[in-house]
Amino acid sequence: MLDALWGWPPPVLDPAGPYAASVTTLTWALLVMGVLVTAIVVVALYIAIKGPAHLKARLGGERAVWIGGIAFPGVVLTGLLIWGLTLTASLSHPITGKEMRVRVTGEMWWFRVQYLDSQGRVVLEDANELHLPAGQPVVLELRSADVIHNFWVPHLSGKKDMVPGRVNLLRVQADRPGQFGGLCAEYCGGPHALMGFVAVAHPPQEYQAWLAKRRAPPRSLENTPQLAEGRKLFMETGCAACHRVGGSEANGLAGPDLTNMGERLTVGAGILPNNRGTLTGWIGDSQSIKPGNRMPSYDRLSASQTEAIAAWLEQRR
Amino acid sequence: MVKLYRHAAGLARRRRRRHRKGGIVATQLLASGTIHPSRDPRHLLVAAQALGVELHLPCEVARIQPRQARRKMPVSFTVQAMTGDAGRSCPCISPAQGDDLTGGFECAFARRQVGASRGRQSDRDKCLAQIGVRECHRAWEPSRPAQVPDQMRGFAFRIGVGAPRVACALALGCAVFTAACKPPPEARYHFDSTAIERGRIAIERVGCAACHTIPGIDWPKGRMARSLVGFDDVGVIAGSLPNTPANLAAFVRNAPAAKPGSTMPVMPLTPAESRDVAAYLLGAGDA
Repeated sequence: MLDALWGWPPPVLDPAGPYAASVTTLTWALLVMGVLVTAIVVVALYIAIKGPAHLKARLGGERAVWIGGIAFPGVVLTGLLIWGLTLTASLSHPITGKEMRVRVTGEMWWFRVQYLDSQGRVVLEDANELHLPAGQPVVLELRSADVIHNFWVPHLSGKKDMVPGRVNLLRVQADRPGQFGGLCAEYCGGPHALMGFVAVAHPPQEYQAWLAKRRAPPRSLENTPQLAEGRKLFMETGCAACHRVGGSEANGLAGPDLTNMGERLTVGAGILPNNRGTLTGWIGDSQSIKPGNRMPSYDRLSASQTEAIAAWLEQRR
Repeated sequence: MVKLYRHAAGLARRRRRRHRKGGIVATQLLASGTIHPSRDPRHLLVAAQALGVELHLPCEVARIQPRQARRKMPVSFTVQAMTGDAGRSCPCISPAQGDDLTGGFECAFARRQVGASRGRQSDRDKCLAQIGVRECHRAWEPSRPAQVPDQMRGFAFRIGVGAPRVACALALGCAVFTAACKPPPEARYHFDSTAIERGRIAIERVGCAACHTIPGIDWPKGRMARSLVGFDDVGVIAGSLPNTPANLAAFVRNAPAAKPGSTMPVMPLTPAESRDVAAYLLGAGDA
């Protein structure tokens, strides 16, 4: 569905940062080594079965065992191990504590994203989207609220589990601005396959501007009857019980924070583009789009009421 | 083969009866048509030669454009017609025959009777509009099965009926004739396949399928709004606008402007993309 957007599923061998790049290099190296060794074995088998007698004798000799059976694997495997560990050492460098930190919590079936300050306090809450400055490492505190999920943005890093009761740290970095698709990579029930994520890398100055804008008090206008009706319906039909909307009395914590819904790139946890139509469709019948998700279909609202709610959410940016 | 003979015999009886009663009292040329070798390979397998017939209606009927073939339909003539034994051939297809088009064609579309108002009850319930083929009794050359004799090109269908509600009945009959037969070999409009592919990409980009089930889009299959499966067969958009590519393009881009009061919101499509989306919905088929 999203191949028109960010590539879905995201390509795994297209690194956009150093942590993904080392993994990609290692993948190719192991693949080449594997092909090489398999080719040697196939050739040796052919000689052993159909080859000329003098080659057979040489292959079965003691020298061949010493070289091909002990020296070659010992040298090559040791070299490969040392090289691989060196290459990926950056993945497990200790966290210095100076990096920007973001807490990402896996929930069934979406990602809660909380930006932390240097004291570890939550300064901004968002969902299904990670904004990060390009060229800087970002440490993600991966948690889970219910079952084991797995956080994977293939462009930016390898995957890491989100385990209930634990905090796993994952360092990601994007070297170029762009949008990178991600997903939950551990089966977590029901609509697991529709649990997506988008990482957005900004140039560093733009990132600071973005953060300042998001931290400013949200602007909400109810200057048309439709928007006023949308706000009223949001508060009265039950949306506000699960969703928080900054600057309004809606303060539910069960579902994604909708304070800046108008700026969100996706609807339904990284799976649909965000526009008036998809937002209306999601509110009205989310169960047909993402069967089993925890938001009920608001099919008791009329289409104009659903659209009013979507319109009110859409202008919150 | 047996079935064909029996059928033809029944027809002949019915035709004689009608002539005796004077059931057909008026002949009006209400539809013209052309005949050509069928492009539907299924019908080349039957005993009789398959032909395609295009009807051109001079008047506007719902779902059918005037003077435009709604669908090309393969038919085939009876063995008698092919061998020249049948004289003036007027074979029939009854609704029960369905897709078995090894006869001529005849439309029964309602329980109202047209023509033989003094006929028996069974007649009344049966065949109502009849489309006869004139000049098709020439021998068919089995050695050249793919060619249509010159006498059969571009001839007119003579339609015999004999009651006041002629025009209405015939139009309805033709509508049934053209709409009810399977398979539909041709779509109403023809679009560039690249436009259709661009339309699919645009549909996926803006997420139309969040509300609509759309053929060819695997996910999502939204149920909030109407399914767009078979949209080419829909006569009007949103219950009001004629379903033409231009109207559809305007509607998918800005539905409230195209039809005031529409509950479909404005979608972020460019005018070119909206034309591609219309091409996809009308031209992609239901595969």
